[in-house]
Amino acid sequence: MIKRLSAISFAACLAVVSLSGCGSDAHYIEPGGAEALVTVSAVDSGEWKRVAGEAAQSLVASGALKRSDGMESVVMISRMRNYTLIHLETGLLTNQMRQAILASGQAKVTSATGYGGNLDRAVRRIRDKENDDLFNQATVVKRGTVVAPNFSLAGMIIQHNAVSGRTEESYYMFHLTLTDLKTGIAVWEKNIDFAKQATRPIL
Amino acid sequence: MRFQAVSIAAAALLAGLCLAGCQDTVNTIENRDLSMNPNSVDARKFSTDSFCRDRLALLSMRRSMTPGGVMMVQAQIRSERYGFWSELWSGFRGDNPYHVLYRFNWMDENGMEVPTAANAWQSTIFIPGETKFLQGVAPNSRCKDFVLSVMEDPNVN
Repeated sequence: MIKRLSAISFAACLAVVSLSGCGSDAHYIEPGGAEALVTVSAVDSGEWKRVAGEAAQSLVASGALKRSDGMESVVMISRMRNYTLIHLETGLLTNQMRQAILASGQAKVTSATGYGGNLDRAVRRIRDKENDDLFNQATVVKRGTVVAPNFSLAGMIIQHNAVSGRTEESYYMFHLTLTDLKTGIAVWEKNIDFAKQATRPIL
Repeated sequence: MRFQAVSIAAAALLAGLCLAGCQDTVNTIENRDLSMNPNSVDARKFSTDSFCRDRLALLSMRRSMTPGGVMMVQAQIRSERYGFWSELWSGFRGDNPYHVLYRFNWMDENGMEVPTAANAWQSTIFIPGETKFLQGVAPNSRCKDFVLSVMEDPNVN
């Protein structure tokens, strides 16, 4: 009996040791690269990068940011509406779009107005110091100097789920729009979509 | 003994034919008298992956300037995994359709890489015989040179 118990304990220990050997140590991977996780129920790092890359390429190629009057284009990052069933950090997209617009040299991006993390409240707050005797008034930024945007970048994210038997599918569409704030006309639009599918095991 | 060997060979051939018959391939038709006048790019290819090299053929590489004043490049690539043996083999390996990752890196006039959101790995799927245009757009007007990297998607293939 004792011999059998010892054998079972040894086998259990061996199984635990074997299972613990299946894990991996923490290591760096390339964001959005070949090792990045792909899940059906979320927008993964590779997809954020893919969407931002495609959108940035399309926007820069379109020439929509160039103004015919020779004036400098200024873009405000407006709201990215999330119509999916999951929480999404849209900053993962807008931050990369900001960078791409700046790197293109075709426009500047404003932080004085915008939505969410794209708004830097310091622009307004520093002007509230104009009556604060703590500050040298000659160094306080005056009102009326902020450049107003002439374009707005907005968008929406839509999700559609489907299940057939053990197979689950998620379809995501990113719709981005650049609007001329003077006329209200959309001068550039882009749809980027992708679908992911996975089949659950029987057991 | 001989009958058994012949039976096994026949069964294997039948299985192969069934598998090959299950492959989806793309058939293409295009106009013969082409009116386009593409600006071709002389490509210098450096392939480290025999699988990618044998499965994807670079048909052409073209460039043009976009309305935004930046360079756009399109690489015309065809999946070479069609035909009986290729379809049979890809059926066994489970790499049909063929999932590929690609990335454009852009260099400025000083040969320095310009990092941008567009440098991300993009994914695409090739059905055997399918021709696709992998497109890259320069992040700004100073970038004229590029490197296109292509690899198998290890998550799928």
